[in-house]
Amino acid sequence: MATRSACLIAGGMSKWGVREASLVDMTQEAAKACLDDIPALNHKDIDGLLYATSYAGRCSFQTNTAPVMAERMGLRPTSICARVDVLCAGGSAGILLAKGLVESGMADIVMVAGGEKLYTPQRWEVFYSELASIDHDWDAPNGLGLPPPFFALVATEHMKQYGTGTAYVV
Amino acid sequence: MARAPLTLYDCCPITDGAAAVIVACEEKAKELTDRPLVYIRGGAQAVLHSVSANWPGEHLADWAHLRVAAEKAYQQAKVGPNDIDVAETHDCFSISEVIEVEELGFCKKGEGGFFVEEGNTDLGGKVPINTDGGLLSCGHPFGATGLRQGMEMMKQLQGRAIHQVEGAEIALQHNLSGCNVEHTIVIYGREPVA
Repeated sequence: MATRSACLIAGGMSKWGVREASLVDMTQEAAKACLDDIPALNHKDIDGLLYATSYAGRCSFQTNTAPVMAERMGLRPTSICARVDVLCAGGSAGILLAKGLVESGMADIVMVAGGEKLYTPQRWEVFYSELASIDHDWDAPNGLGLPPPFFALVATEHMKQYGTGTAYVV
Repeated sequence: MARAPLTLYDCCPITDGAAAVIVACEEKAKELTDRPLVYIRGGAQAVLHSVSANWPGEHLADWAHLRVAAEKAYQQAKVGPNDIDVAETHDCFSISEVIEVEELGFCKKGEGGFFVEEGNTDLGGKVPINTDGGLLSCGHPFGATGLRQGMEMMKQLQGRAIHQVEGAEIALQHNLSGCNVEHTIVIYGREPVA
């Protein structure tokens, strides 16, 4: 049983959409909104950063994202500074990791940030890029590369098994 | 890219964006804010397969890996599905939420469509879900989505959400990834686990 408890105490977001902004720009916007949400917190007291992103490196020309983002957000983490990549679930994985770090005493105040810049290098490549997320030796050659057709199969199966109609799916 | 029976508006948009949250130990949290504290009571992340041939369920609408993650998260948080006052579920597609409410235990298996249709997941319903709009409305910048969900759950428990669930004390966040290969659940509460 943990002797320390972890709390989620603040949060902020950048503007979301198809942006004419870099991953760094949007991360700075989100960090500013997050820190504005908790005025008593001095950013110098944040001792950990977890940064959740999957397509940095593929879509935005930026790897080693956590140290880069720490610098550009004005943070100097001394407990942990690392990237988390679990595609769509990177953010919640970061929250769980931060909980563990805080409860164990390894860190006191962790910022969990994350972001994606997807419509690059060219806009149409966003779909092509999604193929990077699956096992290239197995599912990719069989055409199961993108989520929309996969979840269409899931919907069809639910309708077949349980009689769910499209009225409930839509 | 949409495929039948899903239509364009059954699919969440792919979005640019970022989000950030702060996780602090209870002692520091008390120093930093006068708002109600939101404790991260428990959570789990389950991966039982990656290649579709090793799908863990009986069929594609049976999400066994979500159940495994949910059971572990409920156990750690010492709560059950009936204790959840508000939730964020990963509605990357409309069908996702229908199956998630089943596997999270909010309704019986196979009844997710009816459960949603009857308004149980609306504001004022049994378990209001995706009160900030979810993936279908907010869009989905992959790494940032889980942070948006966590932020909304925090605001709900602090009583400052835009679409506030009155008196919410326990909140659940569900996040999946890839072609349904991984499920993450985080459970928050106004009180720490005793």
